[in-house]
Amino acid sequence: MQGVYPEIIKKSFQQRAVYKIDSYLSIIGSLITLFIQISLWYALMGNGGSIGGISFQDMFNYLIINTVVLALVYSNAGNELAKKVQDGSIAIDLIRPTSLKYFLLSQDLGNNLFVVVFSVLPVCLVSIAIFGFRLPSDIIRICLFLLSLVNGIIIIFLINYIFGLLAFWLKSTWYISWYTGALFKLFGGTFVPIWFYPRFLQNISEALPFRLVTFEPISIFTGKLSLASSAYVILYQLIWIVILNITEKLVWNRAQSKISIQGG
Amino acid sequence: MSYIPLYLEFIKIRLKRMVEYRGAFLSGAAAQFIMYGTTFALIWIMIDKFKNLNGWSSYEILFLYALDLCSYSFAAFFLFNFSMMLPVMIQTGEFDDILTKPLNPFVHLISREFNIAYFTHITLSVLVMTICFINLGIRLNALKLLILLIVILGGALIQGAALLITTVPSFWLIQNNSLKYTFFTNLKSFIQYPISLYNRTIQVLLTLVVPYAFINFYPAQYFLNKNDFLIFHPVFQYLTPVVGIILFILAYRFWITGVNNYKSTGT
Repeated sequence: MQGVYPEIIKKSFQQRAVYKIDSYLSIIGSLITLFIQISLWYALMGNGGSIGGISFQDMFNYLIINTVVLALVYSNAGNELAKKVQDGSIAIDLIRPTSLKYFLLSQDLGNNLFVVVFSVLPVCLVSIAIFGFRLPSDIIRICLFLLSLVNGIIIIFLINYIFGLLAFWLKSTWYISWYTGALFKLFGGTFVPIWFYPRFLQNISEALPFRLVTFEPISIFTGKLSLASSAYVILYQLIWIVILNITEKLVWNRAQSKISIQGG
Repeated sequence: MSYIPLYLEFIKIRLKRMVEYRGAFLSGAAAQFIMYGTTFALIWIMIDKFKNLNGWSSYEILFLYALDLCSYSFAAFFLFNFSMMLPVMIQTGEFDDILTKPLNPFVHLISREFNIAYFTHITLSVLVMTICFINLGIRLNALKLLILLIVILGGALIQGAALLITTVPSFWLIQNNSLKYTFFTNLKSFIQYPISLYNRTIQVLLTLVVPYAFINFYPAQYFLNKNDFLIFHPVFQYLTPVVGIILFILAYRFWITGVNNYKSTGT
């Protein structure tokens, strides 16, 4: 059974590779997005100024890692799940011997790896060649970053999946991902780093899991957190993964009894 | 001309559908309101932290974004669903159906595919513009209001033309909206901020080649009493409607070429 999921990852990776024009265009897309962000932050703090101990170089590191990590944590699971509930194909997924949850996770991973390798990384490498990049000096920090990154991917996947399960109760579902998207943008620090938030918004973000997806891993990487605080971040992540898993089980149990497939 | 009541009827059917699925419509509207509201709030927080961006204050930047969103919504009323549906209709051969009707295929499609959801965006962007005017202490007289309306419609023509131009290639290529995402959605994100941020090449590109800067950057300066015209003449602040009309005529001619090139899939 274990061999199935890597195979799904590989297949969705290859599926993406079929659409050549799409891939070229998505490189232009990533290039534009990153270029605008760099120009923006350069105009805001490029003249050597640093605000609250954050310099432009820190901000540049943030932008690069944020771009890569956002591409890695992109999750279509909620939408896919909603679609399956609406067209009834979930009936077939339920009798498959594979877990629907891990099937969707593997699909996300395959897709994301393709985007990262062929569109995001080339663009980031070019920018790094221009602006330079500072790697953390100690290996423990890099390990903690990678660990927190994996946890982050699991957290955002679970959140999207739980919201996707709401499709069982709703007639129309396209807007579910808008809600999760807005929450992630506002409390995750993916658009404006939480460093620059007003205090009350920082406090709310602290209490929610969204900052643990990309913002805290980046803080670990750029050295904004001490090693001890970094270890705490990972502990928080693990606690949230447990909470989200329990929530998912509860919602799923209720959802299953809600299923009414319109025959066809 | 005698078909105008019929086109209005198509739009009315869309409106009725919205009333029928009221719950879904309202949840969707709330989602869009929250998403764009979040973006506005975060842009404000960011610029306010640094006081200004190239001499533009946080409310001036919000006004730029609101102007873009507002004119986009007017274009998207008619052309968003159209841009999603056309490639599908061409692939399935459903477009045959459109051509057999004694109606203008373009006007038929845009009224049939009218998307009512953009009322949310318009409400939000008008709200944000009002907040900006109040905070910047700018009073609009009747003339300025009229010009604002013309600028929004001109911007809508520019955005509509861009949506049309990036959708029409589906008559020749099998594509799934990636042209639209790159050359409309992605490229247009440049104008979320004043284009003085970018280097000369990009400023010229956004003014003369892909004139998205006329949607907000140039006309906004008329309302905000600014003078940030880069290497261009201040008369550019009045050119939005002209650019819009010319672009839309070009886009429409491109559409006609596309339709004439249409070969049914025969399914």
